[in-house]
Amino acid sequence: MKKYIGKRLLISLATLLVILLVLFVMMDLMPGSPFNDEKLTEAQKALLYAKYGLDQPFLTRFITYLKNMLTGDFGVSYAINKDFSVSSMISSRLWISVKLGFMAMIIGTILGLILGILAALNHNTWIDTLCSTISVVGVSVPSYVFALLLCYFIAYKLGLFPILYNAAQQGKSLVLPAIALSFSPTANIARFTRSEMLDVLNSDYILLVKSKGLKDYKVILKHAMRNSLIPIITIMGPILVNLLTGSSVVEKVFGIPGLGTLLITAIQSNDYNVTIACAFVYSLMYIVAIFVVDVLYGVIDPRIRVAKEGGK
Amino acid sequence: MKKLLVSAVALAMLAGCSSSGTATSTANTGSGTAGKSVTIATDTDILSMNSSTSTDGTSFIALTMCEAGLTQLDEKNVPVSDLAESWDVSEDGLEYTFHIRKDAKWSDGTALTANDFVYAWNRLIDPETASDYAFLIDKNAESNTTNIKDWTAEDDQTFKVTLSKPCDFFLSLCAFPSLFPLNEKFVEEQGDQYALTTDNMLYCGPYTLTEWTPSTSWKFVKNDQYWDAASYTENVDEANWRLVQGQSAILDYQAGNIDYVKLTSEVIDDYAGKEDVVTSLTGYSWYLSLNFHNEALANNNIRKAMAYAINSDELCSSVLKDGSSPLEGIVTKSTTANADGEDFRNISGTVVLGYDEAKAKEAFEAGCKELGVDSVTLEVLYEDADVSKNCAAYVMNALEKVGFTTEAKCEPKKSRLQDMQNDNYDVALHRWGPDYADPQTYMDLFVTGASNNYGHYESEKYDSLIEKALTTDAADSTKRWEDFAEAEKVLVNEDTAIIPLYQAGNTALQNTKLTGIQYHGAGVDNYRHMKLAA
Repeated sequence: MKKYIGKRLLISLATLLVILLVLFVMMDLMPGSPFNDEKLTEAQKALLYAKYGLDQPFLTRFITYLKNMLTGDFGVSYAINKDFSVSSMISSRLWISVKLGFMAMIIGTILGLILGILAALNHNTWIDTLCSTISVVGVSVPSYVFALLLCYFIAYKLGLFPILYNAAQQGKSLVLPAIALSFSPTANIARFTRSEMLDVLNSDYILLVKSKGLKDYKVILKHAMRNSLIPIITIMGPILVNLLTGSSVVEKVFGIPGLGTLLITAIQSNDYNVTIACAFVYSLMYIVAIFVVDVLYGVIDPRIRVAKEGGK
Repeated sequence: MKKLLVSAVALAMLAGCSSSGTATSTANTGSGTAGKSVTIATDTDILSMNSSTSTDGTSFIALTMCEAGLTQLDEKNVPVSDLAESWDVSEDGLEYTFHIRKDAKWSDGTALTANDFVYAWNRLIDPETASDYAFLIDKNAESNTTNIKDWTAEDDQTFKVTLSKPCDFFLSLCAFPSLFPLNEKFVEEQGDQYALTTDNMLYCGPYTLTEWTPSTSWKFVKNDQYWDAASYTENVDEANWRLVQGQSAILDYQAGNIDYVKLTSEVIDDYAGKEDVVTSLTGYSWYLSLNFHNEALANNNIRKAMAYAINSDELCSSVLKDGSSPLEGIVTKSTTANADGEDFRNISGTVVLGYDEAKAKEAFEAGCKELGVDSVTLEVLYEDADVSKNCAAYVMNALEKVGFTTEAKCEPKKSRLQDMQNDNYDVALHRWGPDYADPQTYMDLFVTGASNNYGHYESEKYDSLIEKALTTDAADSTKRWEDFAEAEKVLVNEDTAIIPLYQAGNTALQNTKLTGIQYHGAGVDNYRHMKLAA
């Protein structure tokens, strides 16, 4: 197991390095500069490039960036909040986006599991059809449509939650956005849960357990769930990262100062340091999520653990 | 499994309940706790509170709230006194002596002196600062916009500026944030932390910046130490800015939490005629840049055909509908003012060709004949903002009615600018915003070889008129503007080198109890005098 983790860590680091290199190259290829292209003359831009060291050759800039990164210095912003340290800009927003993502994930998981289990247990009844319809709607309708609907009916008309993000009421402000974001994971998890549960419920060992006389709900919770969990955990990792990275539209609707909006603004204004740092953070989250999921496999399903070790 | 579920549910509930001290925000009419408070929604963030490196409208508005300069602009764009109590101008207009107020103070109690201006202006033109606006006063460059030669602090209260040639708009430029004073000792102490938080700044304006969460919100509170605090008793005590936009911001306005929010093009129709809709004109001049390197566009008749084909009135009233107004020339309305407060547009009159479909078709045929072609295909380059897309669609339709074949090229703004700089376009929808309240800021663009002359327009007549205005007639305000007016005629009417389309407008929902916002197209919108009726 330890060898396995060690190897995975090394691969992850190498991946991150390659990602950084690709990001650097891509930023260089972007048209325009991080500065006011509409007004500045070439001479003025040259001065700005010199001030921020952007006139150095590619490798020099890349290596300097790597060195600084190891000490936690991700450079300064050029076009969003001039001369602000990128690491402080990201850390404040990261916390909010993570909170939002986790809330959406938890709501989505609970609702998804409930829907999926209900659908599987009441296979081919109207409950099943209802749950499936909800799933389809949740997957097809974009999250910002839900966001706007929630904002209008619940926040504005009923006044139950703040319409826009309010730093003084952070928790309350994140409830509606979390619900809006949770529709998609709910739908995905519900579908997976339903099909996995159906598979498991039709298998031999469940038949045996039932014939032993165990009541239905005990059957589900004790035996069927654990086995259905594996594919669900598989998708939870990517779903979580998708939530963290794909929340920009919902963030915009509710005025939440999150990481998604920062990345988009940075790309549109060619703010190199912010774009690279944000994209790097996202890549890091994705790699960590996949890594955790892989390790969890081994914990949940002994067959996988044994298979890995046996395979040596 | 059960335990996991239970703890997960508990987590979700906890997350929803944390840090919710106050009740849900209900309608607020601005009379909250103590004093009057206003909340303004903006769609752009503060780039920098450092007056030497700040370049964008939102930062300038914030700086005008909490800092001050030698002069400030009144509602008619006329410069009046601010930190400079009075000033003497020599007969030849080459020497300005400003008398700084004795009671002018920084927020830490230190006196504000003429040296603060010397330091700030030196910092602005320092190549290490690499300021976008150094060109306004760079005495070390070959030339600068205001023709400044030097500046000194004769004593704490006397700031002297000498020019090599007169500059009509110098006093109005003194109200521009780039020329605001800086406390040398404080700024040097702060080093690279200067102006990054509310504690790393000193204030000398009518308000102070008390809270600033970048990319979220910022708050100003009245400054009792401001020299003119006595006149501000009726003005709002607290002004909040929030970075929010779109439909939810409009909903928040309707819930009473926001007092001013911009209307986006999709929703303007829904609010037409409502009493709290306000429109204002900006200084942005949107025009079609024509690339003279394109064979067809090098033909005057073809260009005239294009100009005659477009109906700017209809464009503004039926397509844009956001308060934009048709341009009469390249210089916008209500943004320029001479010493008598007159608008350049009144002097120059209407120089655009105007809409005339018959003349357009005639000119098109004549042009095609001269070129020896049956058809003309033009690629129209524009950016992917909704307003530009709608405008470009209208323009292309208008051109096609007259006989042109058009192709659309829609790109993000930076790509569009890059293409224009690389000479990679035929017709481009472009804009220019004025840097100061004088037609020169527009006219400079089209001189042969100018860096923003993307279309490569070359006219000896135009160049000589501009040269005359800047040299021979520099001392005579009237003649200078006459030169500019003639040059504008050559540019737009005779040569039709560019086709002015519209002056960008702004539509917003404003709390009917809120008054006092002053718009300055060629300066900084002034929110200092906001008042909230009871």
